[in-house]
Amino acid sequence: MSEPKISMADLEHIAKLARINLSESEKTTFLPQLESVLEYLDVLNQANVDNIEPTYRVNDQKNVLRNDEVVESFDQKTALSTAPKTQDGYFVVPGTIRK
Amino acid sequence: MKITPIIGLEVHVELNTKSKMFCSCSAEHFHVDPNTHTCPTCLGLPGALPVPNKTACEWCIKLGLALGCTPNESSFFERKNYFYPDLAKGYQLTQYEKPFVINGKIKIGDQEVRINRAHMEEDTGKSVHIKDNGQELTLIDYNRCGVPLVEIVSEPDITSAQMAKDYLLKMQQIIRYIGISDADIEKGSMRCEPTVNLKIEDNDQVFYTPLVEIKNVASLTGVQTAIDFEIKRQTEAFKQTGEVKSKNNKNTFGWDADKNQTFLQREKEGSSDYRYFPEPDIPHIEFTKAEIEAIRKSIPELPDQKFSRYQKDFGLNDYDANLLVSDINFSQIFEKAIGQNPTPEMAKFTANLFLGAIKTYLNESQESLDINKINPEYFKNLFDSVTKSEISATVAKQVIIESYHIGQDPVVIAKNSGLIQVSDSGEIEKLAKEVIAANSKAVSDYLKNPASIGFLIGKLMQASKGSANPKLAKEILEKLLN
Repeated sequence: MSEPKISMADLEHIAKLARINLSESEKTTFLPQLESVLEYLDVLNQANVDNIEPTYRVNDQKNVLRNDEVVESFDQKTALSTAPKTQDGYFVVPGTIRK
Repeated sequence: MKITPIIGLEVHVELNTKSKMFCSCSAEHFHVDPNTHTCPTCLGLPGALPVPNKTACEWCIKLGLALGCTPNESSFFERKNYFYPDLAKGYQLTQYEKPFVINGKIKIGDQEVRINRAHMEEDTGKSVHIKDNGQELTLIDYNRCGVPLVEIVSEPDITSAQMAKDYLLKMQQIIRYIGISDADIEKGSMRCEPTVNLKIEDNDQVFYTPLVEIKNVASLTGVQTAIDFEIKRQTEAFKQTGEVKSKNNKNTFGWDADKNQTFLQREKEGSSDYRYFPEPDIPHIEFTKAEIEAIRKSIPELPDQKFSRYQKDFGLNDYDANLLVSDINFSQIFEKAIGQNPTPEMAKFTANLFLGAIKTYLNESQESLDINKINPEYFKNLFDSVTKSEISATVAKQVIIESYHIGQDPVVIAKNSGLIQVSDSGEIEKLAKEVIAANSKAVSDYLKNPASIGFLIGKLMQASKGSANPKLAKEILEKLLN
């Protein structure tokens, strides 16, 4: 077998960036799963892309811009309608202050 | 031990476009009910398509050109991924590899600060932190989310807190001159994040202290105090630990304006943690050479150019020219007041009125001047009267403010208030004789000590209600007494 593409430390780092808490058993489940995903995608690394400009998109569109004009927004009730918790017109989320 | 601060500044400026950066919601968010300017795009709902605001893109380039930057031929937006509730979609749309403009500079006195880039991005929502039954909660308002934001990144060419402040003031002037933002630091439409470290030279060795980025600085004075604090803190830390800059020890510190100190905020995510990648939903943006030139032409005369012109054409000194160009409203009104093709004398006279009377008045009343109420003819009349010694320089300063208020010719105001300077020697001689008769003690004082003539001149000016030409008054008194 080739060298592992993802370490436990990588997995924990990704979880931290996504602000997800993983239990030990979840970690041991996800690690081989992510490994197999990366292995599957590794086929891309075999393609020779020397001297090939990156393809940002498959069509030739450019300059899709809009004029600076205001269109009516959602009203407050609609904006908040899918939020699990609201207060005084705000979305409520767990405290994010990090001192 | 020789210590040189190395300071770079990231400045964020909120553009005052009507609509947001990638959707058509109103960009107004100051004193607006929370979450009333949102839509699927700025709330990050699935399937929403961002479409860039053309005006915002043009203004970013305009600012770049005003800062001497070069536009990139082709630019694109990228996703900067981070998970935080002030940006609901989990990434910020910004520019990374190909910003709109790169490589400019700003002149600060005889020094230069290089600009690395100015790029276009979107602002985040506003968070309000509360405590509810002992539980920490954060309230989010997405009105600000998606408002166009230009980030200007300097090279670390700044070497003191004062220079950082001057850089910000200059940046603010330029932004206001080109009219793309009110660039108000207190209101948050201009924000600044200094990155500070030190170069320490000790005998033959050179050390660099770890980089610190300072967040939450909300005023110009704050920027200055925070940088000074950080310089001291890093000097002390280096003496104690000897820690030097490495790849992994850049930190983010918050600025506590109440305690006047910085505190360690969080470990900063490295730029690889943001996993930047091109935004697939927004095609590349390419402005033609002609479009760029049209933007360049729309840039008005900038503070540095005005400064040189005021000196060259009107012979104003550094101080006066600087004050007049420091504020776009001020220089516009000054230029209106001096009218078309003014003589240097007329311009200097008006500059003095502005820097003396009008500025004092503005400082005291906290008002701003209305350019529509400025009548160049009035300034011209006043100048002519002062030149002919009909009105004294002191009276000119008095009547110009009243003229501004009631919209009347200052010379007429001076006449009606009996403030026209009397240069009729017969009239003055008559008053001088009365003053001499009524002040025998002062007369005998004068005969012993000619320097005491000031008292008699004062009496004469009083008797004339300030209208006598003081130079003439002195001559006549001396003639009568000797």
